[in-house]
Amino acid sequence: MSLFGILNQGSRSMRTATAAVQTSSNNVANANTPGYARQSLGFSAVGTQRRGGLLVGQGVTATQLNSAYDRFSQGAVFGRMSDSSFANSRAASFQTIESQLSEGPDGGLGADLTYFFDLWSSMESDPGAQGPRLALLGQADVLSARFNNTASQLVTQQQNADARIEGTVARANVIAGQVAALNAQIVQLESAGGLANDLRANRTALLEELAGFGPVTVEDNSDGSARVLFANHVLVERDDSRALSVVADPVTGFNQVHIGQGSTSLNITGALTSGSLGADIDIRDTVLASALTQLDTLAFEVANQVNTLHNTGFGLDGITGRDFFAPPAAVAGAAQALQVDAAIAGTPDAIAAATNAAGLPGDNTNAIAIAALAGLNIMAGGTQTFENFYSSFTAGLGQDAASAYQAEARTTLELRGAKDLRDSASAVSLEEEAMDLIRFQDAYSASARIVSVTNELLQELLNIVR
Amino acid sequence: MIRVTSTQFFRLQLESMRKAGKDAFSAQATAATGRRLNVASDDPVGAQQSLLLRSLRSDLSTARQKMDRANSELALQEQAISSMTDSVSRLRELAVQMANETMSANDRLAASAEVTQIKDSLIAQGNTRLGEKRLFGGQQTGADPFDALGAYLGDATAVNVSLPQGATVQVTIRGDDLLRGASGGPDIIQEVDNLITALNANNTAGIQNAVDQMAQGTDLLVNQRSLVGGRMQLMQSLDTHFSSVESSLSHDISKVEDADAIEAFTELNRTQQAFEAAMQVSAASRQPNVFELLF
Repeated sequence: MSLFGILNQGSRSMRTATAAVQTSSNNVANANTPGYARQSLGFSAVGTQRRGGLLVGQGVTATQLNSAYDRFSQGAVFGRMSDSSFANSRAASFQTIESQLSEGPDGGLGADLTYFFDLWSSMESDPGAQGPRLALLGQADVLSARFNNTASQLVTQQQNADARIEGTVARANVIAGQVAALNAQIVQLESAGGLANDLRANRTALLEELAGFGPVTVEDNSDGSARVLFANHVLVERDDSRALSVVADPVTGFNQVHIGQGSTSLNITGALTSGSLGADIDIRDTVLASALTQLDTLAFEVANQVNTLHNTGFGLDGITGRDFFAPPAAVAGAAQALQVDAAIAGTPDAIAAATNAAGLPGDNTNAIAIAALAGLNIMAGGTQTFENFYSSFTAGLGQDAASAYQAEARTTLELRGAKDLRDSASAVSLEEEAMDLIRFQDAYSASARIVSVTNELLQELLNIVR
Repeated sequence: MIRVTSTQFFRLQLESMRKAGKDAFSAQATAATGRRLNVASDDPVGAQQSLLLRSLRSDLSTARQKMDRANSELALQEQAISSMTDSVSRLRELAVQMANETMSANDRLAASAEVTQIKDSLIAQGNTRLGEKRLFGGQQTGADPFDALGAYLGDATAVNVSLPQGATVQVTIRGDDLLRGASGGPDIIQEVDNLITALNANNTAGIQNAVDQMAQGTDLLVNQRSLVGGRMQLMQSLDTHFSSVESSLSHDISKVEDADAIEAFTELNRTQQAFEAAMQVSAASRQPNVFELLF
């Protein structure tokens, strides 16, 4: 090997060490970048040359930039992300629902219901007097307002979930478009022999956000592009993304999530079983819908049962056949619409405490019968009283909320586990980078020393000639 | 060897602090409110129990209010019947006195005036009311059950008040049972009228007859009075019972809803220490920065 060859070799190894330091520096800079996978420089020895009878090595060269990206552990993060986001959103919604239905020492729907029937019972003592009648009318208004407010708060929550679905779908579309654009850039760069690690990191971060919305499966194509399935339907294929859209359900009016399929679209609402979209759909269509149905059923039965008896009784004015509550049209919406009938409101004498006109004003038997409704098994196919029905309803909701909070804690742990596993494989370790820096700094110094020694040898050689 | 990267360090610290902070927050809420049951999910079974216990307590307190009211009515009834008894006793005394042969027709005429007054007071006692509610008219509580002549205008229907667990207590005594002998015994008003007639007619036999009738009338009223007394006693014993049930319900409600103070504060202390520890761990693990040490 010639001295010039050694100079070449030295400068090549200095260049390689510089590239390695640059890689470490990039790693350190991106230590906290979401989706970033640690990069490392691959080296290889340059082929040997025959010098006389000897085979002499030619030094080192950087071959390629490797990424520690591990698609299996990243795939697990996508899955856990969907689960954790589902549980988080559900838990947050349950927190609001619970606070609205909470029954504390300051009262609640259950206490109002009990007190309503207690006042019917109080009226027995002196059905001819105005005081108990006015108190009963007041409490009937309180009870109606409580039903109205609780139901409308639940409906508002349904609408909020519905609006969130629309917002999330819009964001998912933006992400899908960006992923498709990144796919195109990655394919272009990598087909030209480059390595688009940073673009891949951006793509991973976007896909992680998308996984928070719903179930995401990512398949890596050999050209570097990612094929993304959302709820088992293709969302991004190379540089093409399909549009998600919301379509109002003809019956409920609530948003259904559709995915574009050529010129038509396919309803994938039912397939969205995880992620924040899944949670919002579940809260809106199952949790809140069932809570509303139960409230409506309770309001419907209370109104109808009281009305049936009230119709047979007589007011102090001797008139019979009047409803106490405005008769609800149907179970659906009964809680929101509950109110004291116009014929009774403001007219305490119209309350029918008597069974017989002849017994006025002292006849209290209809008041006794209506007060006794509170103790009858009317709800749930004749197995539960109003109170029992309401208390099992709140207990059931509390149970669901408690499981939602537990699921949140569990999936958060699982997500952390999955991220730890991935980061253990692919995240930047500052200690490692520090060691690399020292290693390549030393390599650089050593190579520089070789260059300076070779330079001295050359000087010696030139001095001979001179 | 498993790599541990800085992201993992920070994630672990963040989540530990978050978790410890959340625990400390909820322990603080429990200690501050003194309640372990703030929302149903804190204890779903307890939430259901608390609702039902509260409903029972509310029913009981309504029942006790009704019993208070019924007790006032019964006490008033007892008072009225006691006055009626006194009046009828006085009538008997008068009749005994006037039956005496030494009394003149004028004496008897004078006595007749007193008897008429006593009759009016009997009618007034029959019209006794609490507020606007007449107590001896059956369901006809809105108007006086006896007119000026003593005719009964009320009805024969008993009025009951319902108590928890389907029990009922009758809170009325019929005025015509008391003064018109509707369910046996002498028709006191009629007998008083007869006495007045006899006194005016100076009819000793008639006056003598009134002595017996008034004696029977007193017996009748005493019986009715003891009936009322019995009801009052029943109310009293039920009230004692309900009052003890009510306080044991309150105790049960507190057991379900309220936090044990010692436990709450121990938990508060523990979670706050855990929170501080999590923060200290973060501060400690921040120190050995490899770059600061090596370069």
